[in-house]
Amino acid sequence: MEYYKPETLKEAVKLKESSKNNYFLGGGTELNSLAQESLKIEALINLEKSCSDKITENQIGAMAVLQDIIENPAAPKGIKDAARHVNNRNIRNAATIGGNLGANKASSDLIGTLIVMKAVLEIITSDGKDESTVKDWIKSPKGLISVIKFPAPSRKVFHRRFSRTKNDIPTVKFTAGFTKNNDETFTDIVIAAGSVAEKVVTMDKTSDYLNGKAMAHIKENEITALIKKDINPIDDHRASADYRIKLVAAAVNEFLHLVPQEV
Amino acid sequence: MIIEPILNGEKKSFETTPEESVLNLLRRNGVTSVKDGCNSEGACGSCTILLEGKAVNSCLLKAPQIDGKNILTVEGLSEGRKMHPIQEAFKKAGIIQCGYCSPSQILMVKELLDKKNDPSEKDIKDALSGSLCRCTGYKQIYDAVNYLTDNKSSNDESFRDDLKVVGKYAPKTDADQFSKAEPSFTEDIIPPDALVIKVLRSPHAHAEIKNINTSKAETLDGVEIVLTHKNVPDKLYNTAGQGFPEPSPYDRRIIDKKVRFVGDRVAIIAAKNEKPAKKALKLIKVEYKILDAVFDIESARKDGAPQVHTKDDYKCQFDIGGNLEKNMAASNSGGIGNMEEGFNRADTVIEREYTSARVQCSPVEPHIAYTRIKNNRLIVSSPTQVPYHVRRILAYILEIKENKIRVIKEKVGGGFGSKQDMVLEEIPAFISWKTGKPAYIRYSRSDEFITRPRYLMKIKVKAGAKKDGTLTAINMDLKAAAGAYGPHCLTVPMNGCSKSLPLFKCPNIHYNVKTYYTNNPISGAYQGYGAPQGSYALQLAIAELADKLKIDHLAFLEKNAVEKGYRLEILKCLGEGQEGIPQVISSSGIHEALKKGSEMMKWSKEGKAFSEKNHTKNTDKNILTGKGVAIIQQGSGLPGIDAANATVKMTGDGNFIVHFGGTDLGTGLDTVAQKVTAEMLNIDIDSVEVKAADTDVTPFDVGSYASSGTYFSGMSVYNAAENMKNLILDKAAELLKSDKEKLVLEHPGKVKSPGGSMTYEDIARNTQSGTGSGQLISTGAFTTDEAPIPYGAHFTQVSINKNTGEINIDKYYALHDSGTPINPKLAKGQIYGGVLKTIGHSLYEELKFDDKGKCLNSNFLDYKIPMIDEMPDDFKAELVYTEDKLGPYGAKSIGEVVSNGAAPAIASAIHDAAGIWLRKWPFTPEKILKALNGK
Ligand SMILES: Cc1cc2nc3c(=O)[nH]c(=O)nc-3n(C[C@@H](O)[C@H](O)[C@H](O)COP(=O)(O)OP(=O)(O)OC[C@H]3O[C@@H](n4cnc5c(N)ncnc54)[C@H](O)[C@@H]3O)c2cc1C
Ligand code: FES
Ligand code: FES
Repeated sequence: MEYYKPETLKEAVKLKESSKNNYFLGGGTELNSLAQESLKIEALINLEKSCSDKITENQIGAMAVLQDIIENPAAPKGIKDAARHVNNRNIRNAATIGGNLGANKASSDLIGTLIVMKAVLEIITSDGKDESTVKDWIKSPKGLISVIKFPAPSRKVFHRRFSRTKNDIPTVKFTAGFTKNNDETFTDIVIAAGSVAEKVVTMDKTSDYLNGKAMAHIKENEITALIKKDINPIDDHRASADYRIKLVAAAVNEFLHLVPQEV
Repeated sequence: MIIEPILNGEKKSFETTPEESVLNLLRRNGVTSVKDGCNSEGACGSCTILLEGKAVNSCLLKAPQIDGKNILTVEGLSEGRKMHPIQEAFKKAGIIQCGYCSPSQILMVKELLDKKNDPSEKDIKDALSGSLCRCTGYKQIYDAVNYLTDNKSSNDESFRDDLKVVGKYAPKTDADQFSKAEPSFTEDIIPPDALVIKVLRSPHAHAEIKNINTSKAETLDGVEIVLTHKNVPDKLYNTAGQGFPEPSPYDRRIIDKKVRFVGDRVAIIAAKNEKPAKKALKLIKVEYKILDAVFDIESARKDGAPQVHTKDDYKCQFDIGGNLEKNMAASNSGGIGNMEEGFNRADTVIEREYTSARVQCSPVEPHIAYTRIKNNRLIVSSPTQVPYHVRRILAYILEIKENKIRVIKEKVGGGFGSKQDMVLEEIPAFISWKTGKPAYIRYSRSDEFITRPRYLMKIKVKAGAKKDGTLTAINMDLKAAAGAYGPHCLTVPMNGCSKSLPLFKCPNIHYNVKTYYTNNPISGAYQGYGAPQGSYALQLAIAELADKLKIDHLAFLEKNAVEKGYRLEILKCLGEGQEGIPQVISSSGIHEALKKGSEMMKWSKEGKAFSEKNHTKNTDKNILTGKGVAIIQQGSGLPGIDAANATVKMTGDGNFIVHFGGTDLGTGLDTVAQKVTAEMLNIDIDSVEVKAADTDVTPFDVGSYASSGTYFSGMSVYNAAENMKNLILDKAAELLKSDKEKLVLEHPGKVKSPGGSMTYEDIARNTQSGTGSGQLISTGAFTTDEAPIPYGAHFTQVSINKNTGEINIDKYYALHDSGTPINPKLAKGQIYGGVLKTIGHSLYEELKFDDKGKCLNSNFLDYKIPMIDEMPDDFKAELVYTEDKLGPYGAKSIGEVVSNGAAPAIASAIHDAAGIWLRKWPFTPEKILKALNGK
């Protein structure tokens, strides 16, 4: 295995593109785990020197570690809360936001939040710089994520995490971004769900249904039917598919009933 | 490549590769404080270092990532022999048990306090959130941090004003060693030239090995030896560390030509290092004849079921009730009174079945053994709970004399019963004996998960009572799954009955125990040894019966629980495969514990308290809250079976060294020996050093299991110390020319006569001189036919989210009678640790298997065990003093009884909250929701 620590993003991307078995290295909490032994890594490209870790209200460098995001007063609240859900200080002290996206796991605590906050990713490839929504990127990841931008850093986010223990990855992670109106309705709703499919998914049918709807017109059975259209989870040793659907339905219910009290 | 980190303030230069983890690099370079507890998956935190001041897992870092960076490990904290204040605080708080995780926790606290002077409880929880500790229950970490921030002087609980050191706090004898991370564990002493051993495991649950070709593996560079069923001794043995003759079948070989579970041994490789060992595993070609398998009790006992064992591979020392055609490994039944009459007298009878799960001991240090040959003798180092049994079994397998084998119990990084078996020592022992070379084997975490889980049991309880709550009859019908082999197959299930039935004053009791072989991993001993399963079933059945009778559960327990002086007739049939001994209860704190606990819980006594009045008001309409209780007991060793011996030697300056064979697993047993000796000889504890357990050096002891440590090993030390006291008095009488009866021992270390006095040092100088009568050395032995019974009551309050089934433990109060607690803080540490472990078992821990018998969650990412966040919101351990005459200074055991209360207390609280009875472990949110919806 080779190890590089390039000075520039361009160099990092060039090294990456020279072999499909070359990997960007953030904190390494995912990549360096023995659980990844099957990966046949040829080279690690440490992004420490080339990629920013700067945290501001509107953007976060991909190399920013989760604990620094939590501790930085400037960081958007939504993403701080999501980072806190990674309930292992040792992991948060090393794991980067770029690595969390790069790992692209269904159980990610951050991806759903980034989607519902409508974050934009700055992507570097050998063709140059580009931008992508998080949703598009997780569908077909490519390039180096250099910066995560937050066009609406104060966007409201509701999180609900279900897990066997606090330290476990989520059995279901429900995240909703929204605007709360004076007439008690929600608009501009985006909902993401983790651990219910191979990647984090958005629940467009459910959010369309809820968008702008007065509470009195929201029917639980209709929501459950839409949830079943939006997601198709599997059974595994953490929970059954059926239970996961019930959890998502419970989360929607909490979102509708708890948020009005909080906002 | 070369990297240059600044390690503990010193610039270092290390040769490494980009593949190497920092954990490996550090250990290779002598930094033994970092440990691998989770197969380097980032889940345990035992490998923590401070990287530029931040706690991170060194297993998740590649070596070049620390080039030029500042690294702090625990080795860099203390200055010479002087410990850092955090290390001192850990020692003072009693938080160090096995010590395996302690260095990592110390560093986590260091990061916390470097950033915050006055951390909140939430900050402490967060700082420790990456630490997985199976021993302590985390609670006393808060005390350690409080000592450092508040400078609170420790307000240590104290028992027995008549005693100087017993009943008061003293740090564990090895607390300094662990907090400084001195090399202590087996893995810390393995030389680089030791052969590395790997096991090829069966992918099939049940198969015959038709053909095995190892030629390619054998010729691979670096491979020393390849073992298969063809070249290991064709000898049946039993791995259970139990007194000989063992009540477990001899039903396995080092490697057999038949495999009986996914993970069974097929071949073993010893090589110069990991690389060829792992490669050689892949070069072995095996042809299997796959056989039908049985995975559960029902299938195993069906007529015509595939037979896991035949008479050729099942030998018993005496009849334990096996019937191999029915896959029955062992059985037993018995009882007292007249069951028919008992049930006829009852106004209400219930019959319910309860099922436990396979849960894993999960010591953070996995099984490991290191062997070598010295002067033609076999030396074995391992974290075994039973060094003498290991020596006996090895001598039997290898057909060599016991005096040719030395077994040294190194420090144990958590045992909990899993190290009561000789799980792997025979492998390196055979290899070293055959090759003459040092060798070691260390299980991976996935190996560990399929090693000796708790016995799965299905327990049917039939119980009857009169309208007023008087119990008239109890029947327990217990079926257990042993898995592929049968260590403890009679005794663990028997314990399910013998540590639960004697809690009740009931004249008619019957039990029926049957254990079946299945094609699952081998079950074994685990803290509580069958009692947690039995206790869950019986205690919950009693709760159900009380509910049906509309009697407050607590009142029902108070009415029926045994008390001091009650004769436990049932014990005459509940022996360890032999006839048992009825016993009169020497002391009992059950009623006191129930009283104190009910006050702490504000348990309502009025009316139908159980299901309505106890509810605390909750504003959140989705949350249901309820309270539960259970009474519990264990034993203190096995009267008539266990035995312990100790020696006390006076040193040249009148201090003492105690040698005993008891095995401290982090439980504080060495400290018990130290304190008992100090108390007897009227000296300070630092005048006593303890050496245990090494079969060459220390006298015979069965080892630590069955809660025998404090009572059996402790009493052998008590007897040896008392004999030393007599030797001292005899000598002093002679030297002081006084009557022995007129002499008294004075603190510290003096003998006083009416006419004068002399110090122990004077006596030592005299006896050990050229004209003296010889060094004072005393021995003490202990066997008995009665043992004090530790009792307790556990109370809990839970909250349930009725929309999701999620459950929170709001309160957990564990009240324990351990007689005179020899070391109250360490006793409480045992309680916190045992309770939290069993909260995990009750709520989420469970090994899962696919339909071919493959374990699906054999790692700490998929099998979750409680971390600091899983502590109950309000968690209290209370010691209820009882006066008892049997144990050393009235002490009873504490280590196992703590694990018997969580499942029934939580299950009854769930019922109180939600009106559902959960009769199957674990009580997952999904099961709770299902039960709620099915109501
Ligand atoms: C014990 C444990 C518990 C965990 N718990 C949680 C949890 O609760 N919630 C959760 O969300 N996650 C959890 N994780 C996963 C965790 O590792 C993270 O998701 C983490 O954020 C990954 O970041 P990293 O910097 O360590 O990534 P790395 O391991 O360095 O990289 C991960 C992947 O991302 C790629 N990558 C890295 N940086 C970039 C970049 N800038 N652009 C493109 N690709 C990149 C890498 O090539 C690699 O494929 C846990 C992990 C462990 C080991
Ligand atoms: S060995 Fe590093 S976290 Fe377990
Ligand atoms: S003291 Fe923490 S694992 Fe033993």
